[in-house]
Amino acid sequence: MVDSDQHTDSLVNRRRFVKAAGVTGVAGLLAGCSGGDSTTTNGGGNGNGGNGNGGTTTGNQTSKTFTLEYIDVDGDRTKEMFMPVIEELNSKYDAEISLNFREVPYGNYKKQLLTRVGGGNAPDVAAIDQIWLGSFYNSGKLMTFNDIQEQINFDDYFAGFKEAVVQEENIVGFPITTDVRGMYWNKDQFESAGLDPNTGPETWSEFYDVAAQLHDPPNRYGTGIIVAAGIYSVPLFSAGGQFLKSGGSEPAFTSDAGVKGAEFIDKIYNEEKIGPSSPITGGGNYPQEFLNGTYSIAPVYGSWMDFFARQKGMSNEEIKQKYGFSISPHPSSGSPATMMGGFAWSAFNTTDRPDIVKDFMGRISGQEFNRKIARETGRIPTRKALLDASEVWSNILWSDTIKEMLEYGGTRPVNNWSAVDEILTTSLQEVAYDRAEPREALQSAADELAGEL
Amino acid sequence: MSDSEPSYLDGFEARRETQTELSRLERLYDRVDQKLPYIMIAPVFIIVVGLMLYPAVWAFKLSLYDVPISNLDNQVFVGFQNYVEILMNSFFYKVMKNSVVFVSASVVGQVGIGVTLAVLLDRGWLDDRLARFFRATYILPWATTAVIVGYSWQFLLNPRVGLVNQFLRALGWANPPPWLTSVQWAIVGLIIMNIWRGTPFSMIFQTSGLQSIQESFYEAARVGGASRLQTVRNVTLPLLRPFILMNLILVTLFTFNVFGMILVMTGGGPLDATNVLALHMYQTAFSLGNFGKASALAVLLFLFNLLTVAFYLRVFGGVDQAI
Amino acid sequence: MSTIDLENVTKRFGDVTAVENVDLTIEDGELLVLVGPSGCGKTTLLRTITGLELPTEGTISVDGNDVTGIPARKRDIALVFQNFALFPHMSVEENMSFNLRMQGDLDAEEIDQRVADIAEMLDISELLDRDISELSGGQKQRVSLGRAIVTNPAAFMLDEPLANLDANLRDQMETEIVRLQKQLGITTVHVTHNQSEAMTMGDRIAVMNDGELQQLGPPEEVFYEPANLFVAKFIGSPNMNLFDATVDADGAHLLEESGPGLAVPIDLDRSDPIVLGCRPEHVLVDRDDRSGGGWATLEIAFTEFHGASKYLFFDVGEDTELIARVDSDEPFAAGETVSVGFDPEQVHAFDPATDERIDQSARTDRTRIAEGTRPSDD
Repeated sequence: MVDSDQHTDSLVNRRRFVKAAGVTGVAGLLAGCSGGDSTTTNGGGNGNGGNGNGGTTTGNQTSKTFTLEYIDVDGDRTKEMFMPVIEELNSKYDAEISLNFREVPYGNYKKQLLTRVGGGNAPDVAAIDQIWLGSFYNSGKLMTFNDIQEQINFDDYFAGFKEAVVQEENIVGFPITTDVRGMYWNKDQFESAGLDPNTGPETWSEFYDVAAQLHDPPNRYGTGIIVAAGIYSVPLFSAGGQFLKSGGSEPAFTSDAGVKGAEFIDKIYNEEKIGPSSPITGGGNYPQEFLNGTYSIAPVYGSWMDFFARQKGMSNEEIKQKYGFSISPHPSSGSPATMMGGFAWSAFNTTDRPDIVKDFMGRISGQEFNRKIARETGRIPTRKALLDASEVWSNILWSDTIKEMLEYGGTRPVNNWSAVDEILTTSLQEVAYDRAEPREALQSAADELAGEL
Repeated sequence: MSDSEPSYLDGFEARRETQTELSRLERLYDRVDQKLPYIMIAPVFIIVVGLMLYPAVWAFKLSLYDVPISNLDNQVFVGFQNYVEILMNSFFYKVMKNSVVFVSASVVGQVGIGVTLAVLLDRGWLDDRLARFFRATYILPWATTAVIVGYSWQFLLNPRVGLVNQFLRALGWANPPPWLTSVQWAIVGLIIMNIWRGTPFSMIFQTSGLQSIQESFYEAARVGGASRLQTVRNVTLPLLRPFILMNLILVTLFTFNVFGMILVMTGGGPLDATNVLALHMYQTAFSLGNFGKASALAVLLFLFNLLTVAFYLRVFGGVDQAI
Repeated sequence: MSTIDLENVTKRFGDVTAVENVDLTIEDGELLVLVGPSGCGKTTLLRTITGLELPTEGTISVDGNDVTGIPARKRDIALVFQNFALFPHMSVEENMSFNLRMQGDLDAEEIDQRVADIAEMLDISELLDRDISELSGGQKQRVSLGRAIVTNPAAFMLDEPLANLDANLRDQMETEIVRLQKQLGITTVHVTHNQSEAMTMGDRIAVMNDGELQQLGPPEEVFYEPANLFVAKFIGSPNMNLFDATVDADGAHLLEESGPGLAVPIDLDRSDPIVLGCRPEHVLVDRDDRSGGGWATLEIAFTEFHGASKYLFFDVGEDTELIARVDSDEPFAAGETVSVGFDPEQVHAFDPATDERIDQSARTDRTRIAEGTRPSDD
C-alpha cells in the first residue's frame, strides 16, 4: 500500500467516524434523555478507538507495528488459540504484530459490528454468523478471498456452508465450525415421571404425550419452545417444507408443510397447553431456564447448550448424566430433520495491512487450524476431510447422535434471512399467542415478505 | 475651612488624570464587563449547539436519505419517502398507541405518586430525620442505571419465580398475570416498573417546589381554620402548579424517550405489545439497519415531544406558568 | 369581645429562649402593641397566642378558657402577616372568603354577604375580582385585614403589618387600623419594632427585650416614666441622652469626662452614682452665656433639619454626643457656641447597677409637657 493513500484513508475514516458518531449522537440524544438510558448499543464505534490501527498511520514511513483487531462472539474460542498464528506472522513480516481479541455477546453482536463497519471503524477480522453475511456484504467492505481458495482447499467445505459464504461469486468468509438443532430433555424429571431417561420422544404425538405427563405448572412446564423463525426451521424441514422457493425470492412456507410446522408451535402453546402460560418470545434466558429444570423438554435448541451448562460449572460428564439429547421429534408422516448454522471468519478491506490480514485468514482457515479449533472447542467441523477425524469428535458431546443427525441437516436462506426472520417470527408469535391460525398467519407473512424480497 | 476646598478639588483633578492614563486597560475591562453575560453563556451555548442543535439538524437531513447502517457514506436522497413509508404503515400507529398508553400511564403515576410522597415527607408530619431517610431511600430507583433496573424487574416480574407473583400468590391470587410474556400484561408490567423508577424524580422535583412555598401561606391557612387536607387541596397543590406543569413536561419527555429498560425487559414484545416509538426508532436504526428511516422517526419523536409541551402549556395557560 | 391571659409563658427553641416567663393580660377590646427590637421575642409571643407555636411553659387562656393545647385553626384568633400571605392563586374575594370557606359554618350566600360587608368597610369593594398580583401594597394590606376580620374572630393579631409599606402609607394605615379596631371593638395585639408606631396606635404598650417584658402601660407612661434604661433608650426619637452622674444634696452632677459637666438640681435620697437621662426635647439651649452650675457651654458640632424641629448635636467627652431638639425656626447653626442645660423636671434617673428607674421624691406634674409647652420656649 502507498503511504499517502493510507494517510487520506485515515482522514476519510475520521470523517466517517464523526458522521457516525453524529448519527448515534442524535439517536442517543433523543432516546437517551431519560437519565442514563444509553444502554447496550455500542454505536458509532465509541469506545473502540483503541484498535491499534491508529498507530500504523501516524508518520509516513512503513508501519513497524500492527495490531490485528479480531472480534468474536462470546463463546468457546479464545485468544490463546490464535496466538501461534500471530507468532508465525511475526516471524514472516518485518513488523511487530499483535492480536487484539475481543468478545461481544451474541445479542449485541450484529448491531455493534454493523455500526462500526458503517461508521468506517471496522475491525480487521470478525467471526460473523453466516446468516448475517448478506448484511455485511452490502457494506461493500468485506475482503474477498477468491485468490486464496486453492490454498485453503475451499472445495473441502460442505456444500451448504460453501453456499453460505459466497456472495455474487465472491468468497467473503470461511466457515469455522457448525452446530445442529436437536432436542434436549431433563433426565431426572423423566425418571421421576416414570419415563425412560435415555430415550426421548421420536414423533410429535409421542412428544405431546410425554410433555403432558411432565407438565406441572407453575413449578415445571412439560416443554417450551422459543417462537422464532430459526427454531421453526426444524419442524418446517421435518414436515418437508422450505423457507423460500429455489431462487430465493419467493416464500415457500405457506405450503401445507409450512402450516404443519407452525401447528407444532400452536399445539404446544394453545391446544395441548404443555408449555408455559405465555409463549417464549426472547431466547435470552431460555438455555438457563432449561438447565434449571423449568422445561422438561427443549424440543428444538442449538447444540451449543453445553456452553451454557459449562458456564454453570458443570463438566461434560455431568451434562451427559443430567440431560439427554437427540434429533428433534418429527411428524409421523414426515422425517427427522435438523438445521445447521455456524459462524464464518471474514475480514474487512478497510484494514491498514491487507497483506497480513489475508495471510492471517488463510492460516486460520487452513485444514490444520480448522482441526485444532474444532477439537479445542468441541464443535462440529465444516470440512469433509475432518468429518471422520476421531480426535475432533472425542471432544464433542453426544458425538454419535450428532454424526447421525448431520445427514438430515438443512440450512436457512442466507441472503434474505434478516427479512425472513423479522417477518416470519412476528407471524409465528401471533400463532403462539393464539391471535391467528397458522395458515392465515403464514400467508400474511408471505404477503409482507414478497414486498421485501 | 476655606483652605480645604482647593485641595479637595486638586484631588479630584488628579483622579481624572489617572483615569485617562489607565484608559486603555480600563476600556478593555469595560468591554469585557459589558460582554460578560455573553462570555459566561458561550460555553453552554456552544455545547447546546454542538451536541444538540447540530445533531438534530443532521438527523433531519439524514431523514431525507436512504442510509444503510452498513455503509453510512452510501446515502441516496429520497425526499420525504421515509416519512411516507412510516406514516403509511399501520405498524407505526400500533407503536404510537403503545407509546401513548405507556407515556400517559407512567406520567400520571409518577407525578401523582411523586407529589403525594413529596407532600407527605415535606410537611413535618414525619420526624425530620425519618423524612430525610425516606427521601434518600426513595431516590435509589432513579439513581440506578436503566439496564440494571430493567434486568431487576425482569426477575421481579418473572411469572413463575418472580417476587411480584410470589407476593400476589401469597395474597391469594392463584393465577397472577404472566406479566412480560403476556400480550395484555406486558405493558402494565413496564408501566409499573417505569413508575417505580421515575417517581423519585417527581418527588425530588416537587420537594423543591414545596420548599419554594412560603411558610406563611400554610400558617395563614392554619390560622384561617383549614384542616391539613384542605390546606393541601387549597394551598399546596395550587401553589405547586408551575412545578407540576414543569414536572409533567419533563416526565413526558423522559418517558417518550425511554427505550433501554424496555429493550432489556421485553425487546418490544411480545407481539410488539410493548414496542414504543423510541424503541422502534432504535430497532429501525440498529436491527433493520435503516438509518434514514430511523432519523425520520427521530424527527417525528421530536415533533411529538414539541406537541406535548405545547399541549401542556396550553392546558396550564402559558409559558409564564412554567416559571 | 375577649380577654386573653398569658401566665408564665416561656417559649424555647432548643437552647434559645425566645420568650421568657411573660405574664400579660390583654383586656377586652383593647389594642395592645408589642414593641421591641428585632429578635426580642415579640413575634414569637404573638405566634404563641395564635397557636402557631406551642409554649414550652405557661398557659394561655381566652375568656378564662385554657387554650394552650388547642391548635391554631380552632382558636378563633385571626392573624395578619407582615408579608400579608395572600394566596397568589386566588382572587381578592377568594382570599377574603378563604377562612370562612375552610371553616364551613356558613353557606355560600352568607359568605358572599360577609365578604361584601367587610370589603365595603375597608373600601375595597371594587377590588374583589382582582388578582392579588394586581394590588398595591396598601390594597394588599386591606385585603389581608379583611381576610382576618371576616370571620369575626375573638381576637386579632397583627404581625408587623405595616413594615412592608412605605412611610406615607404607613401613617395612613396606622390611623385606619386603629379606627377599624375601635369600630369593631375587637381585642387586638399589634406587633411592631417601630416605637413611634407603637405610641401612636397602642392603648397600651408592652415593651419587650431579650424575651422578657420590660414595661407594660399606656404610651404616655412608657414615654414619661420608662421603667428601665432599655425602655428609656428604646422609646422616643432621637434617643434619650444618658450620662453618668454623681448625686449629692444639690442634685445630680454630670461627669465632665463623659458628659457635659453640668449639674441638675433634682431631689434624690441617694449617694451612689446614677445614670441621668434627658430626652432631646427637654434639653434647654440658650444663646446667652448662662453661667452657673446648671449650664454648660458647648459648641454645636452640626445640625439636622427635621421639618418642624431641628436636632443640635454637641460633642461631649470621647465618642459621646448630646442631642437637643429645638424648633426649626430657631436660628442655631453649626459652630455656634451656646449654653446647654437640662430641664430638672424632665430628667430620669436610673440605677446603673440594676438599670431600673429611680423615682424622685418630688416630681413635677408632667401634664405641662404633655399639653405641648416646649422646654426651649423660655
